[in-house]
Amino acid sequence: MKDAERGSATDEAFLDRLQRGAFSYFADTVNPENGLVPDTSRPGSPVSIAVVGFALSSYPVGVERGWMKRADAARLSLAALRFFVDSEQSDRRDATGHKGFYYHFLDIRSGRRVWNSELSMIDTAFLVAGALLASEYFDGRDKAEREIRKLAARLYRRVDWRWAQNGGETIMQGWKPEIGFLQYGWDGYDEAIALYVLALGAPKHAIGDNCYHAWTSTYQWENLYGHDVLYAGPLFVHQFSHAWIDFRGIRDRFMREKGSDYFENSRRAVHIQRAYAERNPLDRAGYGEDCWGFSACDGPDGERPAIDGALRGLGYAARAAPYGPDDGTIACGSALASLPFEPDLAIAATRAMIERYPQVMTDDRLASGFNPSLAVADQPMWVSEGHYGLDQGIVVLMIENHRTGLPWRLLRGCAPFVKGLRRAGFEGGWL
Amino acid sequence: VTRAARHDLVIIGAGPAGIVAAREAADLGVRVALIECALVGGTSLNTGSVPSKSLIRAARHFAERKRAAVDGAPTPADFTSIMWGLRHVRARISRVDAARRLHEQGVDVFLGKARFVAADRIQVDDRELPFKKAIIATGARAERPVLPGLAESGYLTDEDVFDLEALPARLLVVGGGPLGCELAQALCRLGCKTTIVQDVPLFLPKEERDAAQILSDALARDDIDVRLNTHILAVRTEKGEKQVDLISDDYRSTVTVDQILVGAGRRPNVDDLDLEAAGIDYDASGVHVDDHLRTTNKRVFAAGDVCLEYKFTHTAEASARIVVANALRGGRRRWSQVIVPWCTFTDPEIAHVGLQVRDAHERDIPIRTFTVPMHDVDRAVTDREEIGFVKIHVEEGSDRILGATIVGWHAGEMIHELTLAMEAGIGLERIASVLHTYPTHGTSIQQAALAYVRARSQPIERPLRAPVEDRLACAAVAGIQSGMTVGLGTGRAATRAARALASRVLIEPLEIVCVATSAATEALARSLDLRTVPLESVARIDVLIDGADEVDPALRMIKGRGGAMTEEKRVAHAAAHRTYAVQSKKLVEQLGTTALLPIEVERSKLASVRRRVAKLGLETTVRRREDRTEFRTDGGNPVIDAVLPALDLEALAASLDAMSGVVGHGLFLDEADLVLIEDEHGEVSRRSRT
Repeated sequence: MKDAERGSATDEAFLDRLQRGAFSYFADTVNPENGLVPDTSRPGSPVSIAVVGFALSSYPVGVERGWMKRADAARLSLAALRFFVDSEQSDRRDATGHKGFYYHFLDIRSGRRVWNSELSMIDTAFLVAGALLASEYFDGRDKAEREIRKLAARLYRRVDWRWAQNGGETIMQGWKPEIGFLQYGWDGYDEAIALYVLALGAPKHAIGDNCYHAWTSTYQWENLYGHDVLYAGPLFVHQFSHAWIDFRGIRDRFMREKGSDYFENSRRAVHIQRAYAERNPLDRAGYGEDCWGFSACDGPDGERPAIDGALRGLGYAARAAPYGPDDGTIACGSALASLPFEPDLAIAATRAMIERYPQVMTDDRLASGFNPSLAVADQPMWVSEGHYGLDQGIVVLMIENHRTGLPWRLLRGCAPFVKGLRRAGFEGGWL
Repeated sequence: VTRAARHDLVIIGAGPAGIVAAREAADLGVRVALIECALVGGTSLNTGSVPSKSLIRAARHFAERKRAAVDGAPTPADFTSIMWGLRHVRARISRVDAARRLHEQGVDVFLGKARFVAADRIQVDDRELPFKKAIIATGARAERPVLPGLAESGYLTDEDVFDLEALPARLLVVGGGPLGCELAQALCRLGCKTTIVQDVPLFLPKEERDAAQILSDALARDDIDVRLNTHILAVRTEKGEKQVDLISDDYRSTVTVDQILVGAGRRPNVDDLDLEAAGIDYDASGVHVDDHLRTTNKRVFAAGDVCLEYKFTHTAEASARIVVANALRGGRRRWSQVIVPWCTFTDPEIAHVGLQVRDAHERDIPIRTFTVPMHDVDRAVTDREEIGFVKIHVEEGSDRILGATIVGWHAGEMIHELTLAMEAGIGLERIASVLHTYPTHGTSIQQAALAYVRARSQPIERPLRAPVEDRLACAAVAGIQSGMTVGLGTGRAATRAARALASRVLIEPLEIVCVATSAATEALARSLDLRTVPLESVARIDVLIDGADEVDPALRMIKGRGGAMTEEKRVAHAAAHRTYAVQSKKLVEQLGTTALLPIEVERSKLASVRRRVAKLGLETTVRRREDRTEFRTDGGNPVIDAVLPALDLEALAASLDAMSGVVGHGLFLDEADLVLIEDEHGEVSRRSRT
């Protein structure tokens, strides 16, 4: 066997192990009664609806890889879809959802709203994306698979995207029965393309064509570290919508004008993250060409000792490069989830981080974050406890998109995605 | 009421705008009156930027000492001395602007409250001042929000915060605008536990997102508690402490403080002026003015905070100069043409000039930003002042500066270079060539300019995949299969083809090697991850993809506008099949209709070649670059461009081939096997040599 082939085979085994480890998060934590999956593996964790979206998207991967029987995958998918379709939709404070959207965090048994959480538009979009992916995959004629398709369509049709505009041009990010719509004041490129595509492609309550343009009007095109990039600091922004949408070669008006596309943009974002880690201007421990990944993740919180006697840990927050915030915490899974964009760099970084800091991997799953700048008690560094469903979900899907492109392929044939992309002005490539 | 003699100009308000207007008018020799009801010097001197900068300097000095302290915290800041020093600074600067000095300069200074009594008369106490022209420069005062319990419990504004005798132990700052942030950080650094409450979800909403992010982190490092999207419900006083009830979405909390500082913006001073009597329109946002800063009364103008959106000392003074020119000298100067820089004097400072990205989007101006993080600037690294960046926005496709934001410790000083460049119409290319002293923070601006030059000269970051709508490029590379060696020409068509090829390599399992015909194509191919090898290392080239400047019906071509024709011909002769991709406008009945014939010449034989070519009936010029320097090929040779008369092209080509000193030429008479033609609708047709 030649070196290159051997390396490639080793990489395959490495990726297989990490993908299977990440996939097993869903099988290990799901409530089979209602298909709900917890936000984290920590005891008492509530359900995150986005994590359920990732679970629904991951089951077909598990089936194709022989890690789960098709009937079991269909059963779990159906349980989740039945739960969401049948659950209470109202403006009551403990309902499961309202206007077709769902609360961000739910009780894993009752499925009712917990933590006083917000009705989340972006997390509902990820849930719907998972439902649509399931409906594309489960194309069989048996009763269960037919019901999956029917329920996914019903779930999607019910979402009132127009209501979520609250009379404005863009989609609001949250709503609470206690106070109404929430102001987050987002500005610039973020992970919401999938949200807009689904809202534009919807069979009912679809938003207007101008909404997408309004959302992209705060984009910033920057030449940074020698790369021309649509800038967003945290890496997850460059990954989440890409879990479902194959952006290779398709371009909206902005990207046409800039002669790039979102896939290529994510590739450049990887280089910027890596360049920042190499420069390491804040002298954080561990950073380097194979130790990067500044993204939303769990990190040490402000109650712990201050880092450098100055910056306190940010807890669960989005880290970003190069403008920060940067408290020394690395989201190792975000480096791995860059696999489709820069396979060699993603694999090298993931390998290096696991080798240097073996405690970041347990049960073949990566921790949400680790912080070598911060030693705690008898540990040489801080590591996030347990696992986060979002981290595992993005790893399963992005490894699969790299290996076979299955999620992308399934949704390239999904009419709402195609319609939504076209209405957003995307052209070219597979579209 | 006594009536004074008519003044040529009466100015209400002796702040920065009023003082500048008075002096400028006095210098013109006109009779000018200046009316002030409080302190000569205005907000800036007495309560605004001057004392706040003094406080900021002291706080920064203390923070640096704290940072450098090896054995714990340094001696606590002596707040009383700091405030004494601040008042001393204010007194020193105010001497220059004292009423007496203005009087010596020929300005009639009136102290008292002014109000309009007619369209051409102002009354000050019991004196009536008739005027030919008047300027309203009454400035603005601190906005005082109406909140339950706030007035009863007492609070500070920027108008009285500098009179503090003792540093409060705990402070709540209402409003996350520039002034609120500056004072919050300064007082926090001097030892005051500080909380900022802002009702909108974005921090510094008028600044770039990344600038606001950096400042937000800086304030967090100073241990300031920043609460965004938070409203004050009520203020209560209990046992001498102020209890401030807050709500953020549905989360309620209470903060206990000793003082509250309101920095909720500034309200123009338009009340009590009886503007209606003079027919002057106004509302809560200030006096209404047109672009010439004239009010709805044609005799009356306004300047400074009372009418401007940007309420700064320098904008007040600039507007005063415009007003004097327009009011007294018949000028037509427009406020909209003034390029306005500003700076938030936090640590780090945030300075800005010109358009923001969102402004450009609103005006549909395509924009590109060149960014240099301060950690890439050597002087910032040596000074350990690496937080921040320089961002320069240019119009896409040009080096014209539309705006810039600088975040850094010297941002307020550095922004002037870019303001001057914008004012003088100097682009990034010119800035790149201007020597900047090394090592200074200012080199960051040159670095951004050099990034522009690099990006322009090496368009290497093209997308990896060609757009499928580029049918011409896709057709050109359609026949390429794994194992092939592909020649890549130079120029626009070849670039498009290279991108289409890279796209296929990425998506398909397509293994190819490429031979580039120029350094530019080599760089392009590398950037697209296309493997390149030298011509000498390959046995043959399977396919060449190139473009052409003109193609005649016999598929004869002129090439070489990019100066790569010699190498392009060498590669074409090594290729088994040659495809040329052109736009339909390149088709001509006769070569030479629109294109010149390029001839690459040995430098030492330039004159003799030109003479001999002239004898063949060709008129030539030496090709030059845009900056008028002589063009050189990758081989270092000059190029002469010849006007092609109707000649026997085969005979001409043979003569040029045989001519000593000619390295190569752009007549490609039998190289094209296939020409792909793209019409104006993007449709592609084919012509083969049969």
